[in-house]
This record gives sequence, structure tokens and C-alpha cells, in this order.
Amino acid sequence: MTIFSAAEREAWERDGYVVLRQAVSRQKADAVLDAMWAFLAMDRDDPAQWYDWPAWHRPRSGMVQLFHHQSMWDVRQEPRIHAAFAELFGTERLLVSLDRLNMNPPALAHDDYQGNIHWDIDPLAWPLPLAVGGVLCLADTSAEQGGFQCVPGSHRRVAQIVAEIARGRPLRLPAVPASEIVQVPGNAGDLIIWNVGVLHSSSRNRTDRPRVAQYVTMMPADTVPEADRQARIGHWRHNAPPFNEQGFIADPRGIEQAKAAPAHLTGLGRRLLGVDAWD
Amino acid sequence: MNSAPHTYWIPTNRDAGLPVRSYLNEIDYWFRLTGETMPLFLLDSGDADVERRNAGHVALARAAYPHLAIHHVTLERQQAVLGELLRLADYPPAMLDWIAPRGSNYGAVMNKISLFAAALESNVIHRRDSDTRLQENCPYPLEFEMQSLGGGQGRRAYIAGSGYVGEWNLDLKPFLQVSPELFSRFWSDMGVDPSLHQSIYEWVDGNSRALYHADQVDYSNEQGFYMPDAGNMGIRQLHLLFPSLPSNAMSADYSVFKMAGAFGLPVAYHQRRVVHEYHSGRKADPMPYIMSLVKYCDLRPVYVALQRQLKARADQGELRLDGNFQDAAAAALSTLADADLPGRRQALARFIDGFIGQLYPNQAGELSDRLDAVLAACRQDYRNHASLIRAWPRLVGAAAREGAQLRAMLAEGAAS
Repeated sequence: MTIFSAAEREAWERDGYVVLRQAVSRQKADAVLDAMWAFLAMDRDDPAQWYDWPAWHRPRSGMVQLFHHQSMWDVRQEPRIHAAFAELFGTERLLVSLDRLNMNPPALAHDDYQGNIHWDIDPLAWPLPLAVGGVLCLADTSAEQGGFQCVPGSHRRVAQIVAEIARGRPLRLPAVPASEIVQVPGNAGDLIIWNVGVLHSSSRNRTDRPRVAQYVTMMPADTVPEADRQARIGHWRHNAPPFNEQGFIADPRGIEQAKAAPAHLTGLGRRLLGVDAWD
Repeated sequence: MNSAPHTYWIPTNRDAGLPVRSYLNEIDYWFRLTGETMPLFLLDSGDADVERRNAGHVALARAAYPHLAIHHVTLERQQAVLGELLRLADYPPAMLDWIAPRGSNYGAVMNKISLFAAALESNVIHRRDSDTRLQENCPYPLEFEMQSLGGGQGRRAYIAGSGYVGEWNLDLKPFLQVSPELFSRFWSDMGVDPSLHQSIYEWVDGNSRALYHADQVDYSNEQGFYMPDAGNMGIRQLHLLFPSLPSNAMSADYSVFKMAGAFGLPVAYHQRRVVHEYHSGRKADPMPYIMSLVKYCDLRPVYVALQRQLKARADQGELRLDGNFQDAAAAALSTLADADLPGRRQALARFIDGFIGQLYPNQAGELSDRLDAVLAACRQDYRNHASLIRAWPRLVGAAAREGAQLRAMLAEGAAS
């Protein structure tokens, strides 16, 4: 049985993104939320605290530097998510990303994140890299709630868009007419998957509820170098933050590293991390 | 897997992530222009590590281009399909060495593509090599090939292609680093008149620098034969008529072109070059590379003579492409394989000592000591080619007749 319908596959090809409905249950999504609010030391029901980011945190990125909570691993090793990516890639031999969370509170006059439509890739790279991104809605997220937005079909006209960028403007941040941008809503547990050639970002939150999400994607295991596979296992084993290439500061409190044991992995989870081989 | 009138092939024995990413752009472009899906086959002859990485690249490509058919076919699967074809056509399994052997073999690459294409009912094949990629700011070669080979009115070309920019495609670069004069010595040893050496150099060097600026098309005629590079071309029908010389001799995969030249078939040479990247580290063991040059030294006069003989008979109206060509070509080649052995031995000795020895003195000494064996290996290559030419109509016919079964086997491999 296929995960995506013919219409969804057509949309994936045409628009460069697709929504996997009920990728995980609401309960699983909510468990991640509990972990996130505890990590941020915020009350999920107290709006005044949503802007009180830790001092070490980079201002207003929205990125939450939590990686290894059991609930996050439960998302990563969810069979339905693996099946969806396996369908897109045409192989079950995949590894899962070790990525972070996002919390985008409602825009205020003094804290008004507008969203910045961008590429995750270098648009001048030739040929363009092939990869897939993914973000899981941890709560119901309306189109106005600061969630995923993108320019459908932009992956098919990267060169044209780059050619039209005004001189001096960063190439990864083209100015796109608002009319071309689509806000993508989702329910708790829905996973939005996009082709990295698609212009995208989180968006301005015009509601009174925060947007909350976990980034999770997969890649063919055979494209990951052995050294990287070993490093991934080390990150999991020591509850260590895996990324810093985007300048997000790791939690100096060392809350995750202080945990006595790594997250529990299922058989699928062990393969998706790279501990066990797919063969 | 369905049949496909046009198929796209990238043979490789290395990590092919970059060329796959690159060339999918032109296949996707053609799909958007016409709605026609052209299946891409990555024919992988690499080791297990290469196979594993290429499987990953193909998986990424499938996700990014879900509307295209992208197949990764390992050597094991290639051999299984072609082994079955040999069985169906009642030829011995040993013939696989001429079609899909393990290890580098220029001529066999074209042969396996051709037979897979026959099973796919593919009258036009498009080939790109895995040490090349598309040139930026250049129209797609595939578009030209489709317009030139794929349809339209009037007299269509049988071959459409171009060359490379970037590193020289002619495998003389290591020698030129020793001395530029070796370029001329090489062509002298090949029997080319010294007055032409400079123009050959300028042709190769000029192509290597000629970034695209406008379309210009040249057609082969009596005065000139434009030869596209094997890694940037499309072929119509000829692959179903002629096999390539099953040898790792340099230019063995051009033997189809040479036979086409005998009949004066139209070859269209365009300016949409692809970028060629030279892998200097690939010759850790230089002997296969040296042997490919040495064999070319013997091959060239033999195939020039073959082309002349066939052309003379074709001009007399004695040969027909769709009739008695294969038998005539095989007979002529069998004779030429044993012709002028003292002269050819002398030419080989001169080339090995005077050219190869300039860069590889130890290997040159070794080859000089077994010159008769080298010449015997060359002769055997030609006899093998003659046998394969004779067998080709039956092999192609069996591939077409049993296409559904062979395509299913090919698709099974594509699921890796």
C-alpha cells in the first residue's frame, strides 16, 4: 500500500512539497511539546514567558536546541514517517536527521518575526544538490500561525529566480512577491516534506498561539560517509548536540549531555541512526 | 518496465553523483517541453562501495524527480540480463566478455548499452559519461539530439553530438606534461601526416576552451568527418546494426562511428559541449591505460583500412546497411587482423619504445619483451569483433523478441 495518493505525488512533483497527514499521533507530538517547554523553562499557557528566551540563545531564531529527548527519537523512528520517505526515495535504506525544534511565538510590536524566505542550498551550485527537508507540526497550526511557508514550484526555476535577484541582495534570500508565497497549515502530527530546491521559511505568526515544530527528514543511507555515520552514533550515545554549522549555540547548561543514558531505539530506529546496517 | 523509443545512458565505474544530478536537468527539461519521459539508466560497473554510493544518489534523484524514470543497474544485474540474452540467442556465456566484462572496456560499454536498448525497443540512445557534466549557461545537448535524431522531416542524422570543454578528452595529457613535442610524436606513430598535427592540436585544444556562445552545426561529408565524443552524443539505429570493438583499446567505442563514416551517413556536430573532468588519480596501475594506447596504435591503421574497403564497396553499390553489411565487414576485418604483421610489429615496437617509454620506461621495457603477445592480443580483439559483428543481428533480434522478459530483469536490478 502506498503512503501518498496519486494527487499527492503529483503535487510533490509540481509544487516541491507534500503534507504527510498523521505522520505521528497527537500524543507523540504532544510529548515532544512537553519536553520542549521544560527545556525552555517556559509555561506553554503563559504568553508572557514565550518571549523570555534563555540568555545564551540567539535572539529570535525560534530554534530550540533540544535534540535527544526520547519523545523526539520516538518521532524519528516512527514507521509511518520512514515509509513515507522510503516511498519518495524508492528505497528503505535511509538514515534520519538529528535535528532541533522550533517555537515561533505570536508577533508583537517589539518582537515581530516576519519570516525570511530562503533556500537551504547554494542556488549557484551547479548542478543543484538533491535533498529533502521535513518539519513536523507539534500542534494544530493554522495558515496564519507562523508555520511553514514556501514558493510552490520554485525548485523548478532556481536559475530564473537567481537571475532576477537585485544586485547586493543575498542570493539565498530572494525577494519574492507575497502573492507567490503559500502558507501551509497542518494538524498536530502532520509532517511537511519539501524539496530543498523550494524557497521556504517559517512565517509571521498572526495568531495568539505559538507555532511549534520538530525538524525531521531522512536521506539515503548510502549517501552518508562512514565518518558521519560514526559521528551520528556518538551524538546519540552521548546526547550531544550534532549541529553547529548554522551558528546556533549549543545549550551551555549541558542538560541533555547530563542524562545517564541515550534514548531507546527500536529496531527501525537503530537502522535509521546507523547503528545497525540495512543489509 | 515499458519499452522506450529513446533511452539515456550513463555508464560508470565511479561515484556518479555529480553527473546524475547534472544530466537529470536536461532529461527533466525535455519532459517539461514535450511531456515525454526518457528513462535514465546508470550502468554501474564499480566496486561494492561505488555501487552503494550510486544507489544513494539514485534514491535522492528519484525523490527530486518523481516524474522521471531513473534506474541504477549494477554489473551483477547487467550480466544477469545479458547472460540470459546470450542463452536465448544460443550463444556461449563466454561472449559476455565482449559485452559486459568486469573492469574497464571501452568497446564493451557501447555493446551492452546497445543490447539493453534493443530490449527496450529503443531506436535512439543518448550517452553521457560519468566524468562529464553539463556546461552552465549552455543549451542542453539532449535538445539538439532529439531535434536531430528523434523526428522531423527529411534526412535525419544518425549521430548527433559534440565534444568536451575542460580537461582534454584525448588521453595524452600525462605525456604532454613530460614534453609537448610528444603530441606530434604520437600522431606520427599513428601514421598521420605531420602537416596535420598542428590542426589536430588546435582542434583538441580549441574544443577544450570553447565555452558555448552560439549554436553552430557541422555535418560530416566527403571532405570532413566530425566525430563527437562518446560521452556527449546520441545515436539513431546504428547501435542496432554494429557492435563496437570489444576491447579496452583507446577509441574502441568509436568503431560504430567509423563504420557509419564508411557509408557517409550524416553525423551532426553541435557546439553544446559538456564539461570533462580528468581524474589524474585513476591510474594507480598505469598498465591498462598504457595497453589502451598501445592497442590504439595497432587499431588505427586496421580500422582505417576497414573503413576504406567498406566505403569502396558501398560506393560500388555492393553493400547495403540493411542487408549484407555485417558479413562483409566481418570478413574484411578477419582478413585485416592478419595483414602486414611485420609492419605492424615494427610500428608497435617504435611506439612502445619511442612514445610510451618517454613516460613509462619500465612498462615499455616489459611490453617490448613480449611484443608478439601484444600483437596477438590486438589480432584476437579484431577476430572477436568480427565474430560479434556476425552475431549482432541475432543478438539484437533476440533482445527485441524477448524484450519483455529482459526489461523485467533490468527493472529488478533498478530496484536496488
